[in-house]
Amino acid sequence: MGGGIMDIYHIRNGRSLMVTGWHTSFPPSSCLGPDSGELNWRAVVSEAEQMVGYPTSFLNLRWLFNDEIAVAATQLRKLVGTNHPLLKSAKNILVGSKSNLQSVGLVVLLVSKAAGFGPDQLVEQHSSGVLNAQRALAEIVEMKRTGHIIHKAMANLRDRRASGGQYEDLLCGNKIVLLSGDYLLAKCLKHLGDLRNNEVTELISTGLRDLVEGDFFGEIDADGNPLPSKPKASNTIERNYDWENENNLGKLGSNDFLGQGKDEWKLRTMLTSGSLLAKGCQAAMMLSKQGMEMEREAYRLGGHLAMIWQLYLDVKDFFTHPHSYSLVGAPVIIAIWEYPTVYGHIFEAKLEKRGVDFKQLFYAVRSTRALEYLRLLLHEELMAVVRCTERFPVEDARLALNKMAASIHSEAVQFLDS
Amino acid sequence: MCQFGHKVRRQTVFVKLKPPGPTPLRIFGRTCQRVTTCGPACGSTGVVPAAAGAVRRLASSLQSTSTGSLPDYGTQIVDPYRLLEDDLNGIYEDIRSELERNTNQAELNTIATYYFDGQGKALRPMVAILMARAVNYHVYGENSALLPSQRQVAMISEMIHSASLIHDDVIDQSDFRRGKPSVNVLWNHKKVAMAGDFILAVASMMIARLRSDEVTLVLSQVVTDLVQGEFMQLGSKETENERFAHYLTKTYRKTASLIANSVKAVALLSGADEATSELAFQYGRNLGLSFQLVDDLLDFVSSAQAMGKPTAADLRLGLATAPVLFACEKYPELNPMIMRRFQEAGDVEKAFELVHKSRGLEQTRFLARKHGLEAARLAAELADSPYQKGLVVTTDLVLNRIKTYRARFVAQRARTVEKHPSFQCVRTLPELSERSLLIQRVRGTDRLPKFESVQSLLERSERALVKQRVRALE
Repeated sequence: MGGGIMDIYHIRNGRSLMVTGWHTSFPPSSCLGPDSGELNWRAVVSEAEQMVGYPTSFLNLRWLFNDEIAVAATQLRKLVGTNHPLLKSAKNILVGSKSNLQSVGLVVLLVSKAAGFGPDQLVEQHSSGVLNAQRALAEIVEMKRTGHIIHKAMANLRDRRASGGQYEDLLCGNKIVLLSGDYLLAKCLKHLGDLRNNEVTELISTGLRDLVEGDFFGEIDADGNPLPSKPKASNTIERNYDWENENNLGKLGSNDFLGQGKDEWKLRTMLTSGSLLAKGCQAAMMLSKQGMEMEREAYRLGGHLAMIWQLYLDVKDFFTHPHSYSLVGAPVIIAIWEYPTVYGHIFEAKLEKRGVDFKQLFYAVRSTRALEYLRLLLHEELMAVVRCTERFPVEDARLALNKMAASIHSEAVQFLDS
Repeated sequence: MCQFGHKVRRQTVFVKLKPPGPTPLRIFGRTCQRVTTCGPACGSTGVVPAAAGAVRRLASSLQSTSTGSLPDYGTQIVDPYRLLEDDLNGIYEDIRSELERNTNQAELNTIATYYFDGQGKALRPMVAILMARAVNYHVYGENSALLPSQRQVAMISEMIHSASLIHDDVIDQSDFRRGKPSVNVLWNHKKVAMAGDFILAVASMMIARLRSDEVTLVLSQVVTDLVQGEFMQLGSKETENERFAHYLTKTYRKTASLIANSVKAVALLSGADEATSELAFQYGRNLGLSFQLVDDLLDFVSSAQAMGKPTAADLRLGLATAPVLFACEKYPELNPMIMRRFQEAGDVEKAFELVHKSRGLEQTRFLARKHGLEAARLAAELADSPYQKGLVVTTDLVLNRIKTYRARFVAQRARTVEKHPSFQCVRTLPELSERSLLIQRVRGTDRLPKFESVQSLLERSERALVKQRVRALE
């Protein structure tokens, strides 16, 4: 269980889960379609891809055979043998996996198809139930995300002294990273212009802005990894983070939510992945002129999908890397909120200027009821996804979305059960 | 009091004698930010007063800002910066507030607004607004005002320019820019890259908010060109002919494209016809090319005079600019040096010497002048107005930078550099060898004052630091 990129995850039948889990109202099979017996992620994804005519690999070779990328690729040779973060991220970027970009475009296409389009849209170019403009949008959203992820792979270089002997190589790697990321982002902007819809351009640009803000959100330790904030007392909370109803063109949330457990986690998720995905879905609705209501629903759907995805990723990270999981992942943040003494581990490490003792923290978190709470949260998000998709008319795309969410949910629960 | 209830400031501008040359654009603090400048009989007819008339009076009373090297324009001598003072005055503040409005995170805000402190030359916004007003005048005559959307384009062009500077500083590892440590010296590369993306994202939002499909296409082309230009710098071409074409294309993409496309955008927003937009584009293109050629020239010329020894920042970065490419004709031994990007020991010095011995510098100057004249010729086709004159003057400013306003501006900057708190960093970065201090990236930015050597610069900074420490003890 866990691990490899191309694993096939077999999920227990939805009915039998009812016996072991707390929650007895697992989504009824009507939401998942007739043959929801085996929720196999690979199968779900490939079925969805076929449904919307999605290319099986994002790396459409056409953008590889490009002068600029060729130049960058020749420089990449110099990186071999260094410990530049690009080499670690490159694997993620090039090979598809669940934790990855490939599905972002797929979700946008599914949502586009699920909403259908009105009779006046039939004059536009479309295929497999998705407008060509929406298809282009899906590619733009993926490119934006890829560009940003590439930029995140920059080594934390500052000056020659601190980096020692590897400075030249790391610098070279940084140059490639910077240029490739810039190239993708510039292409995005151009394609957005070609869509000739300035509202969409504005919305997707705010998505990029949020991605960047997510990297600066909250406290950061000496190595550049994010740290959770000190939990606030419950009686100092003025408001909770309501991402579903805020104005998403302006900046999201506020720094007040730091230390508010679930709110901090939600805001961080929205900034680092939810915003772009949700705004992509919303923009797809704009392109098919579905109206404000549907746009909001699509935004919420995208947001909830991102949340449940992130929950799964955090849970997986926590259980598969007990010595180096992310400190701002859901298990830790929820534990700190519910049992503020757990923050002591992190606070001590800060005071004594040493790394956090991951193993101790791991057991501390496991000993609390935070994981049970996580289960609830997972269920909540899944229900929210199902609720949102109900508004979308086209049946097969809607089921595909539900199935994706359900399979993610099941896998996360599997970790929790172990 | 003008119709908006703000004090009319123009009287002070008539009378007050400011130090010549462009100044940091923040002298009068908050001014009437409205699009229309206040008319002479305020509160009277119309939204758009006879601003142009007032300006003409203003222009004729201005003293010449040149040291006599500019040609005589008759009684109307125009300094474009002073002409557009009202419009340019709030540009940097507005950019900063737009950036601040878009993030909650203080560090991101600090890095992003680092280059928008009003210390830049603001050439690109100035040209954009100048062209906007000139085209408005051309299309609508005297009663034309600067549209808010055109002012936004000026802001956007400056933002895109800064975002590209921020990323280029990482690539070129520059240490100093605009008289203070460059942004990659103060923060690590990752944060700097992110800040550049942030500025670009906000600029894209602003572009989209203009709600004009054409303008979006035109301005998004700029970003693509900038990136492609950087890529072109990584690769190199074999034959001489290819090399020069490669150099020109790269120069267009990296410098001229931004200016050309932003003036084209303002022309489109003004509702001008296609011929006029194309004219604006060609003006911008020629201006940009001449600007960059002069920059490349200065890299060889000013360094020799100022530092007393060759520095040649471009050569050290491995770039073969126009003077070198011209010199290749006379000295073919430069070719292998270009191919290996001047990496071998002694390459830089040899190339520098050969360029000075050949006619490369003259030829570069000639080419720059040719583009400048072409730009001036194009500008002359617009309707007569102080702004149109300003466009012509700008081409001269670009060419004669080393003699006229730049020298003054740079000298004034030198006085302010010392007071800048971040200048203390000079002392705290021991690896800033003399060489790296002198390597300053060319792109329309200022260099150290001509007559000051590095030694005196360091001495000055030491004195400032000591003074500060003494003051702290008191």
